Amino acid sequence: MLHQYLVSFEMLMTPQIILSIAGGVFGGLFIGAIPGLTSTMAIALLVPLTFAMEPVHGLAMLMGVYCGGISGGLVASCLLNIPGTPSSAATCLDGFPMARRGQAPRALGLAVYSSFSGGVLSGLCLIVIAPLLARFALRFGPWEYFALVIFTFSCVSSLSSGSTLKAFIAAGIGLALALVGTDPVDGIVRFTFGFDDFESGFNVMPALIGVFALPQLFQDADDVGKEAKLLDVEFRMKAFVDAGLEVLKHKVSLLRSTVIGIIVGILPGVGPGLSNVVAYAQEKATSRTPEKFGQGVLPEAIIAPESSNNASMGGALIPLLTLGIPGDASTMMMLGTFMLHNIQPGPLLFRDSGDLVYAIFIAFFISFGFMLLFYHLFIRYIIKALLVPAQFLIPVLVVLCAIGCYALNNRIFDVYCFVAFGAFGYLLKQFKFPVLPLILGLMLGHMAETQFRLAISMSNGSLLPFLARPISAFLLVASILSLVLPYYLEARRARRTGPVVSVIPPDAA
Amino acid sequence: MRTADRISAILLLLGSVFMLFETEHVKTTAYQILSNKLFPHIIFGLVIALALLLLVSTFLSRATSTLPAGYWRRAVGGRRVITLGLICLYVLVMPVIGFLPASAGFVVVTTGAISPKPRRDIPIAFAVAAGVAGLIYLIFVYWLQVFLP
Repeated sequence: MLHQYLVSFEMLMTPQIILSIAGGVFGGLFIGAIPGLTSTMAIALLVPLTFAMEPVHGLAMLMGVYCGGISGGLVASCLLNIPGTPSSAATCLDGFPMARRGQAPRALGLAVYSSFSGGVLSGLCLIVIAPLLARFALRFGPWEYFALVIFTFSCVSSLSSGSTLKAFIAAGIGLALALVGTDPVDGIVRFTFGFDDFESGFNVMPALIGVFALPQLFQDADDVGKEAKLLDVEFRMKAFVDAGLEVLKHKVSLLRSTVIGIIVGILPGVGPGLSNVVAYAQEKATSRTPEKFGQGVLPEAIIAPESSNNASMGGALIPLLTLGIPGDASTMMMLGTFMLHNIQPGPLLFRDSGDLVYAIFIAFFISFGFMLLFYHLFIRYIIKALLVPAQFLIPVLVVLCAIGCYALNNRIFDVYCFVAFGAFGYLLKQFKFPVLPLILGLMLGHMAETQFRLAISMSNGSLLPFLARPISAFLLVASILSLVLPYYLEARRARRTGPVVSVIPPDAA
Repeated sequence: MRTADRISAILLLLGSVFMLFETEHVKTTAYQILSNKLFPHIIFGLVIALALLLLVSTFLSRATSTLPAGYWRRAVGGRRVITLGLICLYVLVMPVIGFLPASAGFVVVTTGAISPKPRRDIPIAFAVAAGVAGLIYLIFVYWLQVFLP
């Protein structure tokens, strides 16, 4: 294995790839810093740049974008009291009050060093768990894969914000949309209604970009003209660096939040958007001075959310790389990029393209190194990014998304899909349907159909093997539990203590 | 929200029933063990069942609407609809006048349409549009060799 790591390290150590990772982190940091633009948007905007690159080159760069996009949100949280990305929602609670007390460099330093520590620790976890899980997943047959898809849908539906029923409907619509085009088993064209463009089905990337980017931009259009109230910061590098030592003094908080981040990241359907809130709530629950939370005096109140959201990145990459199951919107975008480069994540990826997988792991660590470096070098400029007027940003982002979709296949149809999915995603959001299950349905639809038909054919039409095979049965039982358990626990808690006010913001999941 | 849920449930029901009938037009092959219509039937059947459940739940639920005042007016009004309209116009015009002119025009027009101070912002928008068009040309046409419409 060490040999493979060395080979992968050698693959990455070219000036072009290192520069691409650095560029990815840089771009991700700036995009993530702008309120309303998420790491998903950062990946969507920068994916087209990878088209002409070798897979290892492109994916290494995207690791940088992913890292920068998630980490970039902390600046707006600390200085504007607006989370740059949902993954920094809980950072506002103490980051902004600390900055308002005249300790902005300390707040930013705590957030940056916690992000770095959480990310690196989750990366270590990733390189230990992912190969083991991939080896285990080699035992999976079509029954297990289909059960895994069901498990993913049930997790996403029960953990998505809003109604579980609506989440299932959104997943059903996604699966229905995946039926359009060529049947993945027989190659028969279906549901095209005479349109030739439908024959190849809906490309996942335009759908993803449309559903996640356009509704956000429509909402941002409402905020045009609202002046951002940026704190007047006197930036002192010494206080910023000293905060790094302060993070090390809070090892227990750091480790606890990192573990929470990794576990939440592994769960399908949720990611950094939820883990930062859970880690913050957990930190407050275990604190000896919970009354001081929200006042900007406790470093652990910033360490917890920031280390957990970056730790979720490593966690989310585990099911993505080993099983081909994305955990959240950003990893969905990553899966789309893998597909673009004709790479199918799953256990066979570790066996057949181990060097690529290990290169991704190494790129993950290099990205965090660049993230830390860039925050030291460019934080003053990243703060300036918060003030870019939305009236210029919105049309430019639409144009960049459109060119990204067009350049996938040089097809104008993909641009139409981008707009259609964007409008549909906006409509679903207004009707309070979560969009994550919709895209998951579209992405996993072919896999679900292929594995289901293969499983039924191999067992001569019997459904019994789904329950007779232990892993498949376990996953199906876990699917039912994931749907039932939250209701049961909520009902039990309500019986004991009365109704509980959630600390989780509606958009966190 | 109940009325909105009812509307969405009815639309979903109609769409799914239509697609269920449409499944009968899918060609079959003679050699297969399992019909290729089975999976689409399951999916559309599932959506119908879930939509029915949503419809029924709107009649059984006693919860009052939790939407903030002016929610729907904001959802379909003002800058959001202008932006959507201009995006639709942009993609329709794109194949006719070309990607770069359409994009530059879109940036200028959209900035003017959503800006609170258009007179101040439009000259800047022209510079932004030129920069974006130049950047796209450099990256996509020159470097990635994409054939733009």
